[in-house]
Formats: sequence, structure tokens, C-alpha cells
Amino acid sequence: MHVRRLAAWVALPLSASLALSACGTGGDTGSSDGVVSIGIAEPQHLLPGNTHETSGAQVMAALYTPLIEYDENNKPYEVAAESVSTTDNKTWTIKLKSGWTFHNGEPVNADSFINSWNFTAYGPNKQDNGYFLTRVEGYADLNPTDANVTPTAKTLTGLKKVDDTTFTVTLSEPFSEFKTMLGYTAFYPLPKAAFQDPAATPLVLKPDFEQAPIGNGPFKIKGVWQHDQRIEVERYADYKGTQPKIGGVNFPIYQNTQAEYADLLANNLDVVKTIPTESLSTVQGDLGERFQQSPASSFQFLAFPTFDPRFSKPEVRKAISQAIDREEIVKAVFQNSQKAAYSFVSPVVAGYRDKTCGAACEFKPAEAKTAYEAAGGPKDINITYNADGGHKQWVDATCNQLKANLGVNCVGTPEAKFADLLQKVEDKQQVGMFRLGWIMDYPSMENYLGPLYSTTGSSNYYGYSNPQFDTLVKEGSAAATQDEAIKKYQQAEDILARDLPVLPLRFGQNNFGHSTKVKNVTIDLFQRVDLTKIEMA
Amino acid sequence: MFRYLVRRLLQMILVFVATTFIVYSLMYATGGDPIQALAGERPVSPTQRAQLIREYGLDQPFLVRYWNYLSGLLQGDFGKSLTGREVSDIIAQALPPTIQLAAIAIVTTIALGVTVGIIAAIRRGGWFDNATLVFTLIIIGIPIVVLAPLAQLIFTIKIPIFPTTATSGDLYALLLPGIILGALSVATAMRLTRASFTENQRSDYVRTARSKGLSKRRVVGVHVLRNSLIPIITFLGIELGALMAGAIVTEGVFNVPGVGFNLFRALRTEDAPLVVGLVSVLVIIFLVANLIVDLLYAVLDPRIRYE
Repeated sequence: MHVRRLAAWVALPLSASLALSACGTGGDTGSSDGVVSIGIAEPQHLLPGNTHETSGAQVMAALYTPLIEYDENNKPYEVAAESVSTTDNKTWTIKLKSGWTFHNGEPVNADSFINSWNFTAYGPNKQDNGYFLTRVEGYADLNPTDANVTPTAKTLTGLKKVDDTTFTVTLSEPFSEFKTMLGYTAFYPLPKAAFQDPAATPLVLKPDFEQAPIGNGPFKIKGVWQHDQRIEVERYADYKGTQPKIGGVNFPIYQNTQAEYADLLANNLDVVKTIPTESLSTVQGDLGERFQQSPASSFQFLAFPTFDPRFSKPEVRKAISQAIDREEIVKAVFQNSQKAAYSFVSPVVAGYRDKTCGAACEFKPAEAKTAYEAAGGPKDINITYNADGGHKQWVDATCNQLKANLGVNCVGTPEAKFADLLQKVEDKQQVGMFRLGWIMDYPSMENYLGPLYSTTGSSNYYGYSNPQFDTLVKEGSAAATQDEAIKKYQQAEDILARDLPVLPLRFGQNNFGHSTKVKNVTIDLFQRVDLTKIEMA
Repeated sequence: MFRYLVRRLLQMILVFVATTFIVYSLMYATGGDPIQALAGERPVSPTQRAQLIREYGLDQPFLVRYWNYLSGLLQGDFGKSLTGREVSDIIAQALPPTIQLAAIAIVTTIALGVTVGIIAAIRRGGWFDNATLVFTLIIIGIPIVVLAPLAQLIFTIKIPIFPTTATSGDLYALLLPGIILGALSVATAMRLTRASFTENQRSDYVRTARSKGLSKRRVVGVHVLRNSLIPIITFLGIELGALMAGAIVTEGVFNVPGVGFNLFRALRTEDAPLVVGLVSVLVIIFLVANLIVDLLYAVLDPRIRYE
């Protein structure tokens, strides 16, 4: 009897394995009927106020249409907005195109934007994109400095409804680039259906809204967000903007880019936005013409603690800069997945000029060594980096170049986390040089200058302060036209090239590839596939 | 038997509390900044930070936090992950693919490892024995980080028999990753079966059975096999627990949205509630698997009795 019981156990797994092999249903067939598949990572959120990583932003770009988008010269033009106008850069009048509807049929009106922005800005809602509204009047009242106090104000005083399709935005001080900001996820509208009670203050979001967001974009969500698996969207028939050339998009969710790339090689997936660095050496052979590169907004640089006497002389900083062979590092360490940077402002913004850093960023080892010794540069230097970001290789390579070209001792000093690195810098501990990176929030030169180098800039960790620079950035923000603003910003950038508070090292690149089933794949400023241009091959 | 079960269950509660405490304190001791980790290299406004700290109780002392967590757990509340999702939802979604993957792996191990081990033991020293020894040594020598992408390249891209990834979690797509995962323990299972089987073949009761005139089939299939299974069951029980813990590499390569996949992400983003929640479930699985193994001993060997 015992024997038979045992035999039954052995038989059970065997029959199970037979059943397994019998049910071969095949994998996903993502790209039939004009449906394109684009690989993403699991988004953190799908909400205008809370989506800030590229995966979420990609899905949001399908579901929502912003007030403005950017043309080939990276200048803004109206999409959901009829016009965005101002006379003094302080009060902006936004007029919406009429007749647009959300996916549930609700009209897109001034309230849709005002409600969305109020929700995002309200401190207790802890929205990641809240800071985009810092410039709007009344933001401070919604975000008291003592976070445990419930703010008394519930809405932004700077937002005023004029009529159904018009509203005004009053900023706390003039800012000429406000229109440029409006293309970002944070400024998308929300329908009344998003809130438990659309008339309440403060607004409360429906708990399940993020699982199936309702937007005003060219695509509407199909079903719900299937966590860790996929998000599917289909064309919204009543869309009033430019109709996309595809019937829908499937966004399969991947944990790592290697698996994503394998699916592209098997032609199961249509677009991979980031080819993994390990595969860059073989990508030409794998994809040929279907592998493409375009400039991205990220900017990697080496920063100096200018308060540290060792690095306080611009001559020392310039000599270090000239001893670094940027092209060599880009080629050897990054397999050309990034581009050497010779400017402080990314090529993706209007007003970018090549080589603004000038002679200071050119590789001149002999000259650098003489200048370094003449200026009395330190014998021992180190470069601090965060160990969790894959920076070790290039930091070590940079150090080796400095060793060879300047005859100094140089070591890379890892910090466990990026936050640890920032903490040490803020506490003015001895960190030596340190690495930082910047990804723009809105495509304007101002975004690469103000926050990073203004005396009061939110990300000025190097103690750099130049009143002339501050004035120029302020003047740019208050300039009457965008062209005038750009002129001021360019002058400010020229100051950086003289002072060198940081050394530009690399600009990011989109390294993307697509399957044989699609064509016209382009990546926009925010590292999203442009869904209005992509079409079936 | 009943008393033994009760005693074991009581022990399990103690072990469970102790392990969750250790995991919780380890996550606490890493002392990172989960809020900054969530935001990446972007600034977090002080207001937002304070709100999150209050919501997740990060300002409370360690023991209070652990107590809150444990009492929530007893009421079936695993808490919320730092991205705002219910940890219990994430676990409910991650477990099925991992269970399927582990099942396929275990079946592979049994079907290949045990069967081949038995044949090798019967024909000890023959060409089959030697060939399998070499083959299993090769498999055991290739680390999973090589084996998994290699199998993916060969069987899904060069010769497309299987889907490349198992994002949707359907069974057919899980077949290849499951077999790969199982292949790793095939070698161990095989050697274990062979050794245990060989030993038992020489024992007295086998000689008695043979001299009694029983057929070879009955001697091997009933007497020897049953007595040789104890070490194998022990190994498989522990292996099943380990497989449930998520094969981080395999799930990563084949993009299986399972436990390993989520655990890896949770660790990377310092999502302590999610890590502790997942580990708590894994502890339970381990405990139950161990209990079942112990009970199986009694079934296999009538001399073992639990009082």
C-alpha cells in the first residue's frame, strides 16, 4: 500500500510536466493590426504630478497631450493650447482649443488644468513634480516650511479661470521661459472623474485613478495597468489633435534592458529606448540601420568644491580640465554611448552652441602640466563618486589620465549612495572633486544655468558664486522675448567657461533600436518615443 | 503525530517572529535614505520628505516600527511599498509565476536527476555512468549568469522554439527558464541519488530480498528506491524553498515578473516594506516546506515515528 502511494507521487509531477508541454500557446504577438510595442520599466506612477521617470513619462505621453510641444529647433509651439501669451512675463494667459475631450467624453476646459495643477502643488499630496509649480504665485502657502503643519491655503492664488477655455497664471516673479516649461508631464490636465469630489478643496484623488488614467491624449488606456507585465493603449477616436499613424501601443514591462534587448533581437519587441551598454559593441551587427543615436538631455560633469583652497584657483581647474582626454573615455569606457561635452548647456535646448568651454576643455597635456605646476595645484587629488551608479570605470580612467598627464596622485573615492555624497559635500567635508549629473526639467538654457550655478541655486553644491552670472540669469528670465533671453543666457554661459566651477565631461545620447516592423522611430527631448511619428513599416 | 504537529507549528511561530525581526533590523541597519533612493538623483523637497517620513513612520524608534509592522502582519496587513502599492497585492501577483517556475524546475530535477541517478547506480561504472558524470560536471561548472543568457540566445533567438521572455507569465514561456533553473540542481540530485542508491544496493535487506527470489524490478523499484529517497527528499525540500525565494538571475534574464524580480527591485530602491514583506512570505514557505519534508520521512521509513 505504501508503495502505491509513493508511485502516485512520482506520477503526479510527471503528468503535470506532460500537461505543461501540451499547452504551447506561443508568446506575445505585439505588433499586429498596427499595434507597436515599446519596452519600458515598471513606472513608479501614472499621474501628471507624480510621474518623473522616463518609463512613466512614455506612457503618459500616449495618454495625455500637453499645452505645448517642441519643434525641430526645440522651441515651443501650441498643441492643446490655442495660445500662450504674456505682456510682462509675470501674468500668462492660456487659451485652450475648444472641442477637445477626455477619453471619458468630459470636455477639456480651464478647470481641468487648474484642478490638476492645484492638486500637484498642494504639499500634503507629496507629488514629485510639485516643485515645477514653485514659480506660480501662492505655491509657498501650499508648502509650509514646517511640513507637519497642514497648509491653510488649498489652491494656488496664481491660477484664475477667465472663461471655460481661458485661464491666467500669475508667477511670483517674471520668468520668460514659463511657456517652455508647459510641455512637461507636470502640466497635463486631469478630468473631473479623477477626483472624489471635483468641487472639494483640497482635491482628493480617486484611489484607483492611476490604475486606468483618463487623459486628453491620442491614445486611451485599454483595460488597466498590469503591474510588472504590461500597459496597453489604443487610439482614441475623438482625438482632435494630429491623429497618430498606428492603432495602439503595447508597453511590455521589463526589469532589465538585457531581456528587453533580447526580445528586440527575436523581433518580439518593436522599440528599445536604451540599448544596454554591454550590447553596444555588437549592436551594429545585430541591428545595422535599425540602431540609432540622438542627443539626450543629460549632462555629466566633475564639480570642484570651490570653497576648498586646493581648488579655489581657476587656473588649477583649467589645467585639470585640459589634462582629461574626453574623447578617449567616451570611446573606451562608454563605447560611444555618450558624447564628449565641450559646453555647459545640452544640445537639446534652443541657444546651444558647440565648444563654449573653449580652450579650457581641449586636451593639451603638456600645456596643462606646466600651468598646473605654475599655479601650485595639489599633489594628491581624489574624485568622489557614488558607487551605486556605475561610475567607477570612468572615474578610474579619468584619474589615470590625471596621473599620467599632471604627474599627481589621483584616486577614486566611492560613496555608497548618491545621497551620502551630497551630504558630505553639503557638510563641506574633504571630498576632493566629485561627480554630478543633471537631467533637464524643461528645455531651456536657464534650466542648465540657474539651478546649477546661481548663488542660491537649488543644486549648486560647489559653493560657486559670481554676482555677474546671477544678474545675467535674472535678466534672461525677465527678458521680453525668448531670443533676448537666450542672448543673456549665452553671456552667462561664457562666464562659466572662464570660472570653470565644474568641468563638462559628457552629454547623454539616446541609443535606441527598433524591429523590422516599424519605421520613423524618433526619441524626443524627454527620452520618449514620439508616438505621433512612428508608423508600421 | 498530532502532538508533534502542534509542537512544530508553535516552533514555527517563534522562528517566524525571530527571522522577521532579523530581516527588519537588517533593513533598518543599512541606514540608507529610502526617500532619496526613490527619487534617484533628483532633489526631494523638504515638505515632501516630511510627508513621506510621517506616512511610513520613519521617524519612530526601531522597536515601535517593528511592533507596528508585526501587529499589522498578524492582521494580514503587509503595509505599503514606497511606491504606494499594497505589498500584499505585489506578493499576490509575484507568487504565481514564481510557483510555476519552481514547479517546472523541480519537475526537471526529479525527472532528470533522480531517473538518471538511478540508472547510473544500477549500471555503475558503465559508459552511461561515466558520461552523465562528465555531463553533469560541465553543467554544474557553468554559472547561471552564463547558462541563462546562452540558452536564451540559442533556443529563442537563433532557433526560435521558445518565447524570449516570460513577461506575460504564461506557462509555455516559463518552460525554458524553468528547465534552466532545474538544470542547476540536476547534477546534485543525480549524484545524491546515485550514492544513496549504490549504498542501499549493498545492504542486507536487498540481499535477502534477492535470495527470496523477488524480481529485480521489485527489488530495485520498491525496496531500494524507497529507502534511498530520504536524502533526496531532504535536498528537494530545501531546493524548493530556495527556488521560491526567486531565482534573481533567471527571472531577470527571462523577465519573469516573480518574487526574485520584485525582491531585486525592492533591494535596489531600498524599499524596506516590500523587502520585509517578501521575505516574511518566503520564511513561511521555507518553514512549511521543511515541515512537509520531515513528515515525509515518516512515510518513507516506517522506523521513524513522531511522538
